[in-house]
Amino acid sequence: MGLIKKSLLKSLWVFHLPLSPCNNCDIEILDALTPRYDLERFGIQLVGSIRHADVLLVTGVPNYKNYTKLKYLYEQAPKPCFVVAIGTCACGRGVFKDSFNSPCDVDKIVPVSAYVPGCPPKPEAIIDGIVKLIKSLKT
Amino acid sequence: MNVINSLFIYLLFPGFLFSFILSIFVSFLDRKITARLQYRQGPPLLQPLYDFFKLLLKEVTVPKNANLLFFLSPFLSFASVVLASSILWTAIIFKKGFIGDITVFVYLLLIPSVMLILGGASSGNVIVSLGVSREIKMLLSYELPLITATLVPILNSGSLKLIEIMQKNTLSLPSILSFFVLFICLYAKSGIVPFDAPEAETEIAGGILMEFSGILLGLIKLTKQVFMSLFPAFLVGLYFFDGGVVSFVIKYLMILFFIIIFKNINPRLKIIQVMKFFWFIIFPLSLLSVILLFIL
Ligand code: SF4
Repeated sequence: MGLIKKSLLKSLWVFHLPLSPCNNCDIEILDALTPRYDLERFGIQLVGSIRHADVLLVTGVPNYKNYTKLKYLYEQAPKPCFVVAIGTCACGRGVFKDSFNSPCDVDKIVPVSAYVPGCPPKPEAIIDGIVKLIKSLKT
Repeated sequence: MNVINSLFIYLLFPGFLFSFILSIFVSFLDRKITARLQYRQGPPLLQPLYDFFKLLLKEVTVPKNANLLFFLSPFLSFASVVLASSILWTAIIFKKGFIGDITVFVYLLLIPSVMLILGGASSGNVIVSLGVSREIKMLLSYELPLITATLVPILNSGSLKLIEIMQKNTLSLPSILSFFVLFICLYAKSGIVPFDAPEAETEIAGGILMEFSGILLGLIKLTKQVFMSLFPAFLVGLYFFDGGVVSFVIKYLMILFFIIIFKNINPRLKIIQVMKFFWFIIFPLSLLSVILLFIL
C-alpha cells in the first residue's frame, strides 16, 4: 500500500449531505464527531464545502425535489469520493418505501460504498461503518 | 556559486524543506494541544502530512468561470511565504541578510492574502465573494497597525537589516506596546479563530477556500501552516533575541502555546467587530508606541 493511498485512508474528510431526513441521523453524526468519540484520532474531519470532501454522509430519503441535487452534488465532489448511507432511510427507504413522493433508493442515484442501518444508528455504529469502509478500501 | 548557494537556501535548509517540516510539526502541536484542551486524544504526529498527501492525490475541480489566476494564486502565495521564511531563518540561523530585508519580509507576507483574494474572486462563486469581501476588510484593518508597529524596532536600532535589529533589541515601554500590537496583527493575518471570518466554515461553508480542491487547497493550507510557524519566530527575533539556541526554542514554544490557547478560548468575531477593534484600539496603540519612542 503506497503512501498516497495510506494518507487517503488516514485523512477522510466528511461532508454532511442531508436529503430531508427527520434530523435524528444528523444529530447522531454530530454526536460521533464530538470529543467523546473523537474521530479526529483517525483523521476524520467535518468540512463545510463539497470541494474538500472525501466521504459524503447521506441521510434521509431521496424525494422528487432533491434526488437530482444528490446526483449534482456527487458530480461536484472531487474524486476519489465515497458515499456512506447513514440510517435506514438512506439504506433502503424504510417505511417510506411506497411513499408517493420518493422515486428510488440512494444507491440507484449514486454508488454507495457502505451502509449503516438503524433508526437512528448509534455513533458506535457510524464509526463501525467508517471502519468497514476503510477496511474495504485497503484490499 | 552564488546561485547554487541561494538555491540551497531557498529549497533546502532554511527554505522549503525546513519550513515544510517545521510547519508540519507546528500544525501537529496545534491540533494535539487543541484536542487535549477539549479532553480528547487528538490526531497522530503525521496527520498534517497525511492530509497534505491526500490533497495532492485528489482531483482538482474547476469552476465554470475560473481563469488562470485560480490555478496560479496558491502556487504564488506558497512561493512567497517560503521566500519570507528563508529570509527570516537565514537571519536567525546564519546571521546574514541584506539591507532592507525586513521591508521585503513584511511585503512578502502580504502576498498570500492578496493572492487568496484574487484566486477566490476569480472562481465567480457567490458565497466565495462574501469571504473575499471579508478578507479585504481584514487586510484593511490589520495592515496599517502592523507596519506602524514594525517601525518601533526599526527606529530603535536605526537599521533596516533584520539581524542588526535583532541584535540591538531593547525592552522598553514602546517596544512592549509594539510587541503587543504586532502580535495581534500577525495573529489576525494568520487567520485563526477569533479572526477567521473570511473562511468561517459554519456560516459560509469555507468562504474564500470553498472552491479550491486537491493540490490547490493543499498549498493554501500549507501556506497558512508555514505562516503560523513563522510568526512566533519573527516576534522572538524582533523582541527577545539573544543569540542562544535553547533560549530561542523556549521562547518560540512559549509564544506558540500562547497562540494555541488564545485560539481555543475565543469565539469568532464578526467582521464589523474586527474592523472596530483594529481601527479604534489597535491602530491608536501602535501610533502611541511610535510617539512614545520619540518622547522617552
Ligand atoms: S433512519 Fe430514522 S432517524 Fe434516520 S432519518 Fe430516517 S427516520 Fe430519521
